Parts: sequence; structure tokens; C-alpha cells
Amino acid sequence: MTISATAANDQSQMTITVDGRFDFSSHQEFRQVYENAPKTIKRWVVDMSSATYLDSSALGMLLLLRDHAGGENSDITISGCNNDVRKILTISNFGQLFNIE
Amino acid sequence: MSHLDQALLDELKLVLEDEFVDLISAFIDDSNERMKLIRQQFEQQDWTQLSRTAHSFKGSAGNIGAQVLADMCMALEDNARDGNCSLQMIEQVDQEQASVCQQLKIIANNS
Amino acid sequence: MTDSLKLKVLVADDSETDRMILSAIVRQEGHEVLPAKNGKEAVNIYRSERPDIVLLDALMPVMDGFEAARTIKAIAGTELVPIIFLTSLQDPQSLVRSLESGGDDFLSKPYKRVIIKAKLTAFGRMRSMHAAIQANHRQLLIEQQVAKRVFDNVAHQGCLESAGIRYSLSPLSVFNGDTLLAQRRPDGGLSIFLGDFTGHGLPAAIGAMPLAETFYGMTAKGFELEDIVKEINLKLNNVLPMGVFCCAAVAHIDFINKSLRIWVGGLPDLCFWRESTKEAVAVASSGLPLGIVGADKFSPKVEQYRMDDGDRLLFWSDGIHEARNSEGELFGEERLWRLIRGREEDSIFDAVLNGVNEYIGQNDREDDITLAEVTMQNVDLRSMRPLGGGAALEGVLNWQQSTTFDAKSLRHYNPLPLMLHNLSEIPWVRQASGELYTMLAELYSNALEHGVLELDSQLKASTEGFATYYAEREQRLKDLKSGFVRISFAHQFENDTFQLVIEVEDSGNGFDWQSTLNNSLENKKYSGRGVPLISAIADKVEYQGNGNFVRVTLRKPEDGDSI
Repeated sequence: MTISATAANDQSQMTITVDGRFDFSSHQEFRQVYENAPKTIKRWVVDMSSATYLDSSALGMLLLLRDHAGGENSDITISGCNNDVRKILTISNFGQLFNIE
Repeated sequence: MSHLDQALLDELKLVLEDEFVDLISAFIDDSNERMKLIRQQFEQQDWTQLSRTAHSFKGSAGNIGAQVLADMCMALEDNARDGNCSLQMIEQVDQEQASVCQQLKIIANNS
Repeated sequence: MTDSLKLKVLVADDSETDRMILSAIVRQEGHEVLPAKNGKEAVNIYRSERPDIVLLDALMPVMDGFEAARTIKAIAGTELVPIIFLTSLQDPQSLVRSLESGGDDFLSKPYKRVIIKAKLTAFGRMRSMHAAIQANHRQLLIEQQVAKRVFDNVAHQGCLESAGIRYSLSPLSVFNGDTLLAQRRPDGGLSIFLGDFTGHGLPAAIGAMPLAETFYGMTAKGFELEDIVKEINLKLNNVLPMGVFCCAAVAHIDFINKSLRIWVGGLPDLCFWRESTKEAVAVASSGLPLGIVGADKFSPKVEQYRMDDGDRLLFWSDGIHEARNSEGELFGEERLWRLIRGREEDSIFDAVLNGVNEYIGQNDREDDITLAEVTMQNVDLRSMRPLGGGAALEGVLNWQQSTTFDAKSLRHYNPLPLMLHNLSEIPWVRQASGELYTMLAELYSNALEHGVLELDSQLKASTEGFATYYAEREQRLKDLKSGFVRISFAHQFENDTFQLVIEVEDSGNGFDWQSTLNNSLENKKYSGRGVPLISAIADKVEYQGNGNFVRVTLRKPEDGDSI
């Protein structure tokens, strides 16, 4: 499982890509990515197109990112979810907290 | 060519102290015993056991600094495993064993 | 723990000279030597002396080093015993064999003193580290056991053992992330809570403490499901760190009105089983898990079902979906629903539990498997009376109070817990708080639903109508602009006994109370049950006018009597 991140040229948007199983083992990596991101980032995209699985710890990490990105005022899009990942996000009603594409 | 590694023996003497003499007499008794066994196993053509005896002998010889003897034992071990072991080879080991023991006796007497 | 730690070292070699040399070297490094001539001796000495490190020659008579290593590792169990093979073996196969039989390292002949010294030091250090970790682990286990006792007292008690409830909690870890709670409501109904916290162990268990307190307390006081869920969400939002939350389902089984009210947030679909039609209805998650957002963003949406005798509700946590068989394949949600729908056994609970256990076989369970089932039963109201103490003349004697709830209060507030709290000041009434709550709830909902909101109770006769009825109730309540419900209590001493008079008046048009009153308790129709139920509990029921005013009188029972 790997986490990688790329910032847009104007440093306003960051895309975090999750590859493989997204679970507790990626906690440290995921946190480092958003904590080390430039302060100018306004919009976040979590690209799940290579993620195969997501557990409740991963949902917790998404909430931590949301908090870091400004909580209520955050702008986070979760994109490219496969059916399993989408199902978990739907059950948890995370659509209320994130833009799910 | 020397039969024994003097530096290694000096170190053993240091480590074993009073026991050094006992070690040497134990090795002499032990190696005589092993030679007898080797001849017996050769006559019975018991190659597996012969190979194992040579293997153990190799270890003990190496530990006491008899490197030439250890090397010969290794050759004997390998050949015996393949089942082509000659009497000549055993005579060679026997001769080397006798020389090693003789030298060890001298060292022990001087200690 | 220092490098110069004195170790007990077992030296097993059939060659006397090799054994002497190695023993002397080990002794000179400051360690104690236990010599052995063969594998069998080595095993015996290991058993009686428990050395810290074992040095084993591979080829020995009687028992060779490989077998001795296997035996020693078996005797040692979880204790760490480094085994170092002494060998002049060179072929890789023999080296692999020594590792496979439990060897941790090699020492080749002829011996090199520095290497022996370094290996003994390294393994000695490893051993003391392992001992320290084991001591910590033991301490942790003791602490967890104490914590678990506290946790079980709080979280797995309530009334899980009540008739109609079956459950299975995974015994696999000291704390699993799952919390299962059950509590009786004042009217004899049941509230059940199933929660699955993020994570495992102590962090997951801690959140269950405030949760359980809130759930038990508010349920016993008769608060509505929505209010309980909101309060728990608020509590957890306050105490849990960001990123930790609780996926949950809370259900409320009303044995009198034969209804199920349920809220699911973040848990996979639950199963509501209709016995009459043999139909498995999926109850889906409709909200965020508990503890994520604050009170202002959290509005639980409660589903309402009619629940006939024999109907069941099955709860489970995602541990069942994530159970794996020996091939590592997930049990999965689809398989679970196929099992429920296509089962041969009569009991869904057994079918699911057996199905999952069969599937995973001897395999270790990854997550926590929690399964619970509640069945609707025909309950004798009189058997549900909660017992309380209190002497006859204690407390207040003569008093009255009247409270009017206007449209705004009716929209947002459930007055029952408050009223029940006030009435429980009277000891003889407190003893019968179950019946009292049941009656008050009926009187209040009659006044609100049929009176103020003008809902027709006939609607509830059919399954679809039942849902429509409650959807309509919600809508009309939301839109309510005017109207009131007035509730008055009077406690008096009259005719040599105490009596409680309850009057409920509403702003509605009233209803045909005379024909409703003729319905008997045994009537299986779901509408209009309230009135006969009230008649059964109260000593006197009087309707006035159009039926928008009702007076109910309860007399203090003779000692030993129930009301």
C-alpha cells in the first residue's frame, strides 16, 4: 500500500493517490502527506482509483484530513472509487462530509 | 610443513590453563579411537559411517590446530560419501595423525 | 541489563576435546557452562536447568542436534531460547535443516573466540529484551483484564439476557471494538444498541463508557430514540479524538404498539424479518456514524416498521462480512443475505452463526463477530412492572400541576420523561412507573396524533399504511403552527386511599371514543389499541365532549396488589 501526493502548479490543489489497501498501516504515511503539504493548498482530491479496499481506520484518516483542511470549510473530493470503496463511503454517509465523485 | 598451528595452541593454552594438558591427552586418546573406527568401517565398507567419523574427526582436528589432518579428514569424508575410498588414503591420515600426536606429546610435556 | 550479564550456557558435543575447548572459551567470557555428551543429555539438562542459550553439535550419537533442538523449542514454549548449532557442515542442505529444526544461528569449527564472544553477547541481549517485553506484556494483560471487568459491567449488561434477545459476542480479544447494549424502557419496551468503534482494544472500549451511561440512563427515563441517538452523538463528538467514531444501530422495540423504530448510522444493512411473509427486509444505514459531527449537523432519521409477533430484527457488525475462510476469501455481504434468505433451519440467528463459523473453520477471525437478534413477543403488560421501594406516606400528599405544550413545544420536545420524573416523587406511583409510562405515552400520543395532528388511526391497519402514518406524522408535526396538549396531574387523599388523577386535553376535534372503547386488548388490529390498554391499567377512564378531554384515575393499590 502506498500513498503519493502531487500539488498543482499554482500550489492551490493537492491530489493524494491511494494505491492498494487503505487501512491502518498507511496512517503515518497519509498523515505526513497532508501535514507536509504547502499552506497554500485550498482544494484536496483523494484519488481512490487504485485503492482496492478501505476500512474504518481509513475513514478515520479521511476525517483527520478533513479536520486539517478546515473541517466544515474544507474542500475535499474523493474520486475514482470502485464499487466496494463507494459502498463503504455510502454506508457511512460520508457524502455529507466530502464530495464523492 | 608444520603439523600444528602454534598460535592457535598458544591461545588454547591461555584459555584452558591447567586443563590444557588434559585436553591434549584427551585428543590423543580420542584420535587413536577414531583411527581404529575408520579402519574398521573401511574393512566393512560402511561408507556412510566412515564419512561421519571423518566429519567429526575433521572438526576436532581443526579445533586443536591440526589443519593438515583436518583437510585430509575432509577429503576422506567426501570420498567416503561417494564410496571411492582407498586404503592409501587411510594410511595417509593415519601417518598424519601419528605425527600430530607425537608433536602434541612434546608440547604437553613442556607445559 | 548489561553486556557482562552472566548466562547459563548449555554446550552439547560428543567430541570431548571440542566440548572442552568451547566450554573453556564460554567460561572465560564469564558464563556458566552445562556440558552434555549427546542430544538426549542436552534435552534432560535443558529440562532441569533451563539454560539461557543452547549450543548444539549437529551430529551426535543417541539423539542428534536436530531432534534435540526441536524438543528443546517445544519444551520452551513461548520462552525465547536461542539455539546455536556447532558445525563443520558446509552443505547448504544441512544448514537449512538446522534452521528448520529450530536453530537460530551457526558457529563453525574450528572455533573463533571473538565470534563466540560476540554471538553470546548478542543472544544474551536479545534474551533479556525478550524477557522485558514478556514482563510488560504480562502487566498489560493484567491491566486489560481489570479494565475488561469494568467494561463488561458497563457495556455488556443491561438486559441482554431478557426473553426475546439472543446474542453472540466474539470472545477473541479482550476488547473488541463492538458494544452491545440493551435496556428496558419504562413501558416495558426494549432498546438495543449495537456499536462498532474504529479500532480495537482499550481505545475502542473507552468510548463505550460514556455511551453506555447515556444509553442506559436515557432509555430508562423514557426518552425518544432520536433524542438518545443525538445525545450519544454529542457525547462521543466531545470525548473521542478526531478520526475515531462509532458505527451504530439503535432499535426500539415497542411490545405494546407492536412496532420497531430503528436508526442505523454507518453499519451495513441490518435484517428485519417478517415472519408472516417470510420476507427479509434490509434496513440500510441512513446517517453518519456517531461522534463525527456536532449536534448542529446531526439529525438522525428514524425508520418505523410494524412488528408482528414472531418478527425479528437481526443486528451484526461488519466482522461477519470480513470473516475469512482458510483460502483468505471474505465471507461478504452477499453470502450473508443468501444464507438468511435460503436457510433451511427455522432460526435465522443459528443459520447465520453456524454459517459463518463453518465458513471460517479453524481459521483465525480477523475482526470482531457480533450478532444479535430480537424477536417480537406477546408480552403480558402486568409482568413487566419494574419494582421500586417506598412507604405509603412518604413523599408529597396533596398536590396538582398542569402543563400546557404549545405547537412549538410539541414540534421539538417529548414531555414524557419530564412528567414521569415528576410523578415518581410519589412512592406508590414510582412502584408502578412502567404501567404509568405506558399509559401516559398512550394518552399523549392520542392527544397529539389523533387530536392535534388529526391523523386517522385506521391508517395503521396495513403495513404500507403504517409507514405512511408515521411519515405523515413527521410531516404534520414539522408544519404544526397552532394547537396544544394540556396535561394535568392531581394527587389526592380520598375515600381512605390515595389517588392520582390525570387529565389530558387537546386542541383537536376529538374522536369516536365510544366505539374505540369497545375494542378489547386481544384485538389484533393495530389501530386504537391505546384506549383499551388505558382502560386495563386505570381504575377509571372518562372521556368528555368530543373525546378531546380524558380523565384517568389511578388508586393506590392495597399492599401486595398491583394497580
